[in-house]
Formats: sequence, C-alpha cells, structure tokens
Amino acid sequence: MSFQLPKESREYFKYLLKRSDGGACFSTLFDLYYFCLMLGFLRNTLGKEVDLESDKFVEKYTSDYQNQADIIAGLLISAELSRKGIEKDDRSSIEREMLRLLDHQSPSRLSEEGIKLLNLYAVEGFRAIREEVAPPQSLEEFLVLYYRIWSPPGESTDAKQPLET
Amino acid sequence: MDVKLISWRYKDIRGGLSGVDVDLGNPPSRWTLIQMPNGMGKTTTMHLFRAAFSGEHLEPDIVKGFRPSDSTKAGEFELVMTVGDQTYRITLLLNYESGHCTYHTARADTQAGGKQKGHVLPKELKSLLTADFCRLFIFDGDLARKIRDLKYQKASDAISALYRLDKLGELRAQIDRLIIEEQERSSGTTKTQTSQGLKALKTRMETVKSRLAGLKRQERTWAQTLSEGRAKVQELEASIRNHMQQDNDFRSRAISLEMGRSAIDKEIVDIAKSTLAELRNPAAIHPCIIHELSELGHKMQRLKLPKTMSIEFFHELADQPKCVCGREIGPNEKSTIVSCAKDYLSEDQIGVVNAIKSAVRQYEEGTTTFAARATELGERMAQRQKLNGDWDRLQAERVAAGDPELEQFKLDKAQQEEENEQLEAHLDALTCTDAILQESHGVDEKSNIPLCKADLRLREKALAEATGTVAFLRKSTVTKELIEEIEHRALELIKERLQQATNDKLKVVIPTEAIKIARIGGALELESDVLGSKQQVSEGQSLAIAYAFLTSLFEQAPYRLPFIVDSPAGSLDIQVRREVAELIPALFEQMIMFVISSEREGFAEPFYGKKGVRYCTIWRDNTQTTQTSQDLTFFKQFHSEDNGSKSAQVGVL
Repeated sequence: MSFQLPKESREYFKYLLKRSDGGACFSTLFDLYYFCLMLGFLRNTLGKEVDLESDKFVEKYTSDYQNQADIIAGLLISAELSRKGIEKDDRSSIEREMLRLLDHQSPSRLSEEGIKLLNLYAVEGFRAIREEVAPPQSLEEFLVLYYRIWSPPGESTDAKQPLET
Repeated sequence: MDVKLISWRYKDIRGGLSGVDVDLGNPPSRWTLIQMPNGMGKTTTMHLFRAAFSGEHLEPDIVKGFRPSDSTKAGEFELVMTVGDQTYRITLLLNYESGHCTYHTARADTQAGGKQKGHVLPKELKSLLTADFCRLFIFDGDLARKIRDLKYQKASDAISALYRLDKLGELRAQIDRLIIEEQERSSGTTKTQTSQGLKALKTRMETVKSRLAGLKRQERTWAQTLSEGRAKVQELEASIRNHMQQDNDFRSRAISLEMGRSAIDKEIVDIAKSTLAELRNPAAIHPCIIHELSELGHKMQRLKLPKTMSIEFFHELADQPKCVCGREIGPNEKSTIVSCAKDYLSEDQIGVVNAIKSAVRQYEEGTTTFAARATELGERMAQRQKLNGDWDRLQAERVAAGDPELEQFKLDKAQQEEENEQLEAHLDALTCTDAILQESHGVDEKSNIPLCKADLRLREKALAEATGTVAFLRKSTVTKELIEEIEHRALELIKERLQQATNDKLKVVIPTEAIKIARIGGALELESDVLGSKQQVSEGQSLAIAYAFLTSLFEQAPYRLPFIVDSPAGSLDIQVRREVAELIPALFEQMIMFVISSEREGFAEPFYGKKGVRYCTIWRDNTQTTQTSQDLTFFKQFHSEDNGSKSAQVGVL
C-alpha cells in the first residue's frame, strides 16, 4: 500500500503545483496530500475509497516529511481511537489499534492498513477544502483560506475544540 | 578403468544354491571355467550377475522365481567386484513373499560404516551399466541370435552404449530443453522466433524511435515559443511601464506603484515559503493538534503503554513446561497463550510506539504561528490587491487621456498570456510523467514523451529478446546438427573399424565359408563371397559371429569389463569351438565361462595348457547338498550328462 491522492485534487491545486511567475508553490505532491490529510484528521471522518486515485503517487514520505513520521502516526492513532469511540482507559483496545496501524518495518511506521486509512482521511480533507474554497490561484491565497478553515472568523483559536476530549 | 569380478555367494536360491561361495581370487584369475550341470542354476546365476552389475529393478515374478521352496521366505546373492582400486560388495536381498529385491552396497573403504542401501557404484560406471548393456558382457547364446536379427538394434545399440554415443543424444535432448526454456523466458515480451518476425520488430522499434524524435522536436519548438511568448509578455509589460512613464504626470505615480508592487510580491513569496515550511510540522497548523498529541502522550503515559511484555515473551512462555505462576503448561494452555500472544506488540513494534510516544510528549499546550502568518499574508495580499487596483486605474486614466498604443499593448499582453497558457498546457501534456495527469490529458505513447520512451524501452527489450531467441535458436540448431553429425560419423567410423576387426576374426573362426559382415546397421548384416547377401547361418556360425563382433567391440572399449558367458560353445562344432576358445581368451582381461560337461570337449581343452586359469565345478551330491571344487583334475573328470544323471556324477566322484 502506498500513498494515493484524492481524485481531482491535482486539477484543483494545479496552480499550486506549477508556477512560472516565480511565486511560491508546493514543492511536491506530498504537500498537497498533507494539507488534505491534516484537515481529514480534524474532521475525524474517513473519505470513500472510490474517491482515491487508482495509482500511487509516492511510496514513502518525501524528505520534507520524514521527520514527521512519528507525529503523523500518532495523529492517525488518535484519530482512529476517536473515530471508533474507544474509551481512553481501554488499554487493550488502544494497544490493539496500535498493533493494527503500525508496522516497524515500514519507513512511514504505518502498516498497509494504516496507510490506507491515511489516504481515506486525505480524501475527506480534500472534500472539506473543496467545500469551503474555490480552486486556489496561488499558494498564498490557499494558505490564508486553509487557515480560515481551521479557524473560522469569529471563532477564537483558543476556543477551538480538539478532536478528542 | 578395470572392472573385475572377485567372488559371489548364494544363500537360499533356487537350484540348491545356498551357502555356496565362489572365490576367483583377488586379483582374480584371467580365465575361469565354471562347470555346472543343467538344472544347477546357470541361468539364475546369469540373471543375478546382470542385476548385481546393473542394479536393475526386478519384477516380483522374477524375484519369486528364485525361491528354492515354499517355506523359504528370503534369499540373498552377494557379488564382490573391484572398480580400479576400490572393492564393492553388492548384495541383493530377495524377499520371496513380497517379491521385492533390495540392493545394498558396501565399499572396502567404508566398511566401518557398514552397508549402504541401494546400488552405489561410481557415477560414470553406473551410467554405463544399464540392464541392456550388461547383457553385452553377461550373456548367453540368445544374444548372438539378436545381434544378428534385423528386428533388433542390438549391434548398433551396443556400440552407442559402450562408446557413450548415447551421451550425444542426451546432449541434443538437453539443447531441446534449453530451447524450450529460452522460448518460455522470452515469450513474456515476444513470441518472435523467426527472421521475418525480427524484421517486423525492428521496423516497429524504428517507428517508435522516430516518433519520439518527433515529440522531442515538438517539445523544443513549443518550449522555444513559450519562452519567446514569456519574453514578449515581459516586453509588453516594459512597454506599458514606459508608456506610463512617458508622461510626467504619470511617471512618478507609476514608478511608485511599480516599486510598491515589486516589494510586496517579494514579501508575499517569502512569507508563503516560510509558512509552508513551518506548516509541514503538524503541530504548527493549529493548537488543537498540539492538544491532540499532548493528550495521546498523556494517555500512553497513564496506561503505561506500550506494555513491556511483548509477543515474543508469550511465545517463549508457551514453550516452557511451567508458567511464571508455577502452574504446568499443557497443550491447552500452550494453545491459549500462543493465541492470545497476537494481542501483544512485538519488541520491534514496542520500539515504534515508544518513538511515537517520545515524539508526541514533546508537545504540550501552546500556540502556533500559523494565525500570525495567515494574518500577515492576508494583509500583504490586500496591499497587493490595492496596488494592482491603483495600477489598473492609472493605466485606464492614461488610455482615457488618449494613448491608443497603451491600449494595444494591454490587449497584446492579454492575448500573449492566453497563448502562453495554452502552450504550457500543451507542454504539460507532452511531458508529464504522472499517470493520473497523463490520463486527464488524454495522452498516450503517441503524444506523450515519457509514455513514448516507455514504449520504446519495451520495443527495444522485445527486439533484444527476440534477437537473442532467434540467435539462440539458430545456434542451437547448428549445434544440434553438428552433434548429430558427430554422432553419425562416430558411429559409422566405429562400425567400419568393428566391421573390419570382426571380419578379420571371422576369417579365422569360420574359414570354410568366408562369411563376413557386409554392413553393421542396427544388426549385423552378413554376406558370403559365394552366396552374396547371407541371412541364413547356422547357430554355431551365429555364435561365432557374435563373439567376433563382441570381442572386437570390447577390445577397444574405454571400460575393461569382465566377460561372462553361459554355454559359450554349446552349439558349435568341436573344431569351431576350439578356434573360438583360442580366439576369445586373449581378448579379455577377465573371462568367466559357464559350461556343462559336454562343452569341455573342444572348448575347455585349449585352456588346460594355459596359466592363470581357474576351474570350478559346482554340483549337488547324493544328499542334494551343493558342493564346489576348484580342482582341475576333478573338473576334467566330472562327467555329467545333460540329463544330469546322478549315478554318472556320483560315479565320477
């Protein structure tokens, strides 16, 4: 199992993937994937497998994200515990989830199933972005809009509730 | 390599052959005459010799045929031979009830280890000593008839087997197998195995090569056009700026706006880039992510996760006789422990969880910079938008003041930008490597350079495979033809030599009729100077011809084998017997001849004056006990009629 992008995300983000005017843009497709994924975690909902591209776009974390492997794995565990409603003191179930999601031999730390879930969270994240904003014309525009999805105007950062309490 | 027969021993074998040992000495006598009356088991002995040399599978009926009586359950035949310096003891264990024969081999140098199951001889010798081949040097009068019989290929087969020409046949078969393997290997990319197919593959590859060159030319042209288009846009922008600055009223405002826009663009790029770099750490996106990670860290800490006991601990425990609590671990407990062990992390996984735990625990409640960055970016973008608006308004004012040229520049620039955008899309379709993008552009190997390159690689591989296969087939065919030619010529050459050598001997053995071999085909085809084609010969002549042929065959053989023959002179005239007896012995390093008393005359007599002859008589006495004697006088005097008259034998004794 390798990383797969949400369908139509390339077209949606095309101005962020290639820019000839010297402006800032995504370095790799993984940037695109990552921003979708993080929002997927926030929504704590899995997208549909049918909404994934049929082919992988990369097999492992690109260099920009290699140091984040543990954090992303932790966020996946946290999201799955929350999504499945596993009680915070249910030690056996928590460990079982870790067993299911982790693979020590994988460079991403994640099992095949873990990566599959990551892809599905990214699908949901892309759906959320598309729902909120029109295809961005520049990275700067996207970053501002992305921030607004996380922190809608009128809602203070401090008031933002975490996924799991 | 010399192969010598040293001794043999019978136990509980038909014909009263039990507890009988025949020792030919070591080294053995060059010639041994074994005198056994009819019914004593000569045919059985020949059969057992062939089995002991070849290790052939004996059918149950044959094994049971060796049974001396219904009450005997098992028998044994042991043969000792030397191969070079090594001594081999081959034992046949005959189970008369099941009909199975099992072989055991003992070597002198492995006696300490005892017998080895199976028929174990040096590989080269083993491959030579097939059941059919053994019939060439352990034979009776029947072979002579078959060597002459055109229905059989005995003569030709004997040559092939002895001179290992069959190995060339095996080599051809091996090449056939390699051809099949090569064809199967290459069938993944091409089924082309002919020159015409190869030509078609080359043409297809050249077509793709030419297409790729065309696509690359197209890329260069479009890239050049795009580059020119971008330059044109820049020129138009410069022209617009110049126009704006030509008028003193507009100049200072234009320059100020231009500088402001440039500065703000740079700031936006810098902020966007640094924000992107920061946001690649999830914790920088939003405090709730920090909260999430912190919570996970605390949860793991509180629950003491990961558990220190690993799956390996339980697997090891399941193998212990007792649990750590002291209770016995039986099969049920073991099964339960192993089954539940899968709920635990492995030591490696524990390492990963600990790494995650360590990573997430570094995040405590805190704030991120994203909010500030987003605000900063938003402000800069608003400033840029304002500056752009001012710039547009300034241009509009200039046009309104009567500058159609500026209006044209603006139109030209917009048109050029649109053209550039289209070219970028074309170039992207032409050069994109991403499968999904390729699909969305609707391109294939005819319109996309990476796909065309992949297609060319496939074609090149197919051509290389096909070239290899065709070349392989061509070389294989030539090699096979050469081997076949070598096999044919070698056989013909050997046959010529054998024919000449055999005919030389026949002149001596059958001088009266001048019979000679006209041709060695599958069998020996004869001719007579008098009668032309000669197919009808007496049994005695047949035997003489067979001897002449076999002796010629073996005298130049790469292996020197013992020559064991049953009734070597049975049907020959006494004079012919004498000639055969004179002729044969000199040809073999070891010869063992089974005779009955009536064959002594003419055949045995010429041996009496020779040195190095062993004489052995095996017979049953009045009490039906089998006796052996190696005394020459006894051999000469032993008088046994073919009907085996006991009184006659006893009378001699």
